[in-house]
Amino acid sequence: MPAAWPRRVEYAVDLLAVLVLKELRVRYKRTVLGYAWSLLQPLAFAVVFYVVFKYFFRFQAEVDYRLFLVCGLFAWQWYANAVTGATMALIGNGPLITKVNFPRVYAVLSGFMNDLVHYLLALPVVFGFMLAFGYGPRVSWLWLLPMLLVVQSALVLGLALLLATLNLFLRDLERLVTIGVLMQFHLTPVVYPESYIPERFGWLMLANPMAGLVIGWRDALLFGTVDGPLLGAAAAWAAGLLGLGAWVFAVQQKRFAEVV
Amino acid sequence: MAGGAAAQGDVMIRFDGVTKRYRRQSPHRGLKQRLLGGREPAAWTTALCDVSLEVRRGEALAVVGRNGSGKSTALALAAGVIRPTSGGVERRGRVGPLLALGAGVHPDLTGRENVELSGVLLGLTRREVRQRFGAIHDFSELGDDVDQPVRHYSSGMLARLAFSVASHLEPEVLIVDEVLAVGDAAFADKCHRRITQQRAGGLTMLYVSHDVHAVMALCDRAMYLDGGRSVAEGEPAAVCRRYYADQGLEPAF
Repeated sequence: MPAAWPRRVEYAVDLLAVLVLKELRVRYKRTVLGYAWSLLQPLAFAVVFYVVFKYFFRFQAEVDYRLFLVCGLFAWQWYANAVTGATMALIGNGPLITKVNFPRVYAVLSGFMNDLVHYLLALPVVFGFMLAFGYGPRVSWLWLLPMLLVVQSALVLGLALLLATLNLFLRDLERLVTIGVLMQFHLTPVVYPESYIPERFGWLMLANPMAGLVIGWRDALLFGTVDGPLLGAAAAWAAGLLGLGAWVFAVQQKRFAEVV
Repeated sequence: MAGGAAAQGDVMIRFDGVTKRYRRQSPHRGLKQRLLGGREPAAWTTALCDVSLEVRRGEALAVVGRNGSGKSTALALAAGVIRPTSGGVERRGRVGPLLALGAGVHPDLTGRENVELSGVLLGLTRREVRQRFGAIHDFSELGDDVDQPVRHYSSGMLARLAFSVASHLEPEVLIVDEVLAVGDAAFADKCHRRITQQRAGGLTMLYVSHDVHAVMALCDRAMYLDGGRSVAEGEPAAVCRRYYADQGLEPAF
């Protein structure tokens, strides 16, 4: 179709935009603080973790524990929100899916974009903390941060496609995912440094892509480095899950309107 | 999508021996049933059985039938939302929304936000929706309520919003499922006039309604579905009489 490209691109952008706006409007409708919630929630948790681990557990770390928490918590928050939210991406859009024939992948993409944008908007807060504690930006951020963004995006999107689809057929998945993500949180070095993990549990770090990513974000932000093998394992997980998610979604999508 | 304007007489929707079966399912298929229920034999419901139809450009086909006769399944197939179990469905042109009450309307969004959302979902860019917003708003007669969340709308107001959006998006094929019945008489009349006017401009329509008078006034042909099968097709008045007679009703038309 000649000359249709600019309009098709404009249309794709608009479709994504209205769906993301819809999510945002629905999420924050009737809340006074609106978007600020996406910052307040992780910060409130940071305060609780700080009190518990700093004063109850007498935890000692090389960097200030507040800064340590903030550098990992937002990345975790992005993952946890996106993955739990994804289970509802298709079911929540059921009325649209059964009535309008739009490309179904946008139902998942809109939720994904929403959480990605929230994370990007939270990053300045993280930078603010770093400056307050005397950590400046680093040249290596130019490639490390985009790389971490790409790996975590692939991981989140792959899981989102997979879980959104499977939840149509097995509604218990919502509960399982909520429980699973909470368990994964405790197994991921978000509130404790990876050095606390005994060597014989080291394989857990390779089996859990979020371990590599949270450690990666923290190391990149604070020291301008990443652990290659660990991030490589996370990237392999991300690629595999993205492939699997896209395949399951593609195979099942023609049935969505019937099962939603 | 059909880029150029299709010529008069083009087939816009064709069903070729279409059968649609749904797997009957327990209301909430959960893990428990999966683990404990074992393999129960799949139960199927046939919603539509060997239905063939053709709607040409500029034509309006009505589908009548009792509740559960397969009308909505036929419309969903025509809209491309579901796929047939067997047989073929061909569509061309921009197929407008499946207009049913509250279809694709998000209760937490305002009328205005819903107009944008449905407009884009139906294939327009945001710019194109904005250009039409004034006309949509005027037609709906919703006034300031357009900035209220749709949650607070009455079913009549929802019908106004839904029809106004759908009829101003200039679809090549408009699919209407029982939406006008909810509006008040004046609005129903306005919708009928709008449909008549757009039909004169070449709009193709697939129309489901229990209002036989509307069917006869707005459509060229009608199809009567009973138990998923097409039992009568042809001139609207004749088909509607048959439909009434089958229900033991005296046709007063």
